[in-house]
Amino acid sequence: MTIVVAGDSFVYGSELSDCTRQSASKKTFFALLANDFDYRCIAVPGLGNDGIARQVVTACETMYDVEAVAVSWTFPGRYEYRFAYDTGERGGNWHTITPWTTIEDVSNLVNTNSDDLKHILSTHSNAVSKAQSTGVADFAEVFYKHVGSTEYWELYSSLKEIVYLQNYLKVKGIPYIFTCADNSVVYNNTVSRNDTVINSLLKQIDFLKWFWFPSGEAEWETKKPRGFYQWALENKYPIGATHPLEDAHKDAAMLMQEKFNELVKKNLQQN
Amino acid sequence: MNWLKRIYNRIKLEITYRKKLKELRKRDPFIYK
Repeated sequence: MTIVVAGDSFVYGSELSDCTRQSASKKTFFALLANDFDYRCIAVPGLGNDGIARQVVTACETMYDVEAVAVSWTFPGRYEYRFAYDTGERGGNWHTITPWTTIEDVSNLVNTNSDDLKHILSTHSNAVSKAQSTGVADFAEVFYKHVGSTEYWELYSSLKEIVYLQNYLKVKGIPYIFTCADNSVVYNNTVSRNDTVINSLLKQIDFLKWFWFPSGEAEWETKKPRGFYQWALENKYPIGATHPLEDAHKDAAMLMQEKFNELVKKNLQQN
Repeated sequence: MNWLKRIYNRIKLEITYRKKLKELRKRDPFIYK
């Protein structure tokens, strides 16, 4: 009996004390919640929503004992493609482009108090150099310029992936819980414009299976229900170079416990 | 006048792209690690 947990760097546990390039942290909110069970973390730092859906489907199709799934959706401006060549990254031909794929020098953008700053900067620089040599960076620039940077396309793409995975899990009868890093996947200007296709996708999503972090109350905080990253940032939890650290994950797990019990734990105990 | 229109559209696209990408990076500050 295995719980599969999926998502991006928040679920992998980037910058948490026990996280390495080879193994995910056991201190993330999903790891703390799934601790009583066997769980497999398939999260990949930097992954987009299309990649997250693909990873979960792959896990469910290849592992014989998946009993439940926990997913944290990411920022909608990331896109995964299967390139016509090996990108030199972990996914081989599969690779996620982000708004950072074309930016080599990020030295002024990360928290300078971080101990592993040099490592972060060199890893980023190497990844961008590789993207430039393979052609991925050229593709990313053209794609973002003509398509990917529009709110409509990022939302349309992400919502399709969410509906796809939700329906897959329902068809397979696999209990699941969804949450997200950032609420822009659901709350944004495009949704407010009442577009027919976007509305249709939103109506197909079963939000009873979602956990949202509570809305902010201060004037400068996000007024709508929040994602993990927004909630941690606005509550001023300690942050590493860019990721919330252990305290935020611990409190997030406590907040999510009831919903996790209702959607995942209860179903596992019944089986 | 077509060439002028083409240049105008290219500049407009470039400005919109740079502005939008800046917004996306602000929302998603997660570089490769």
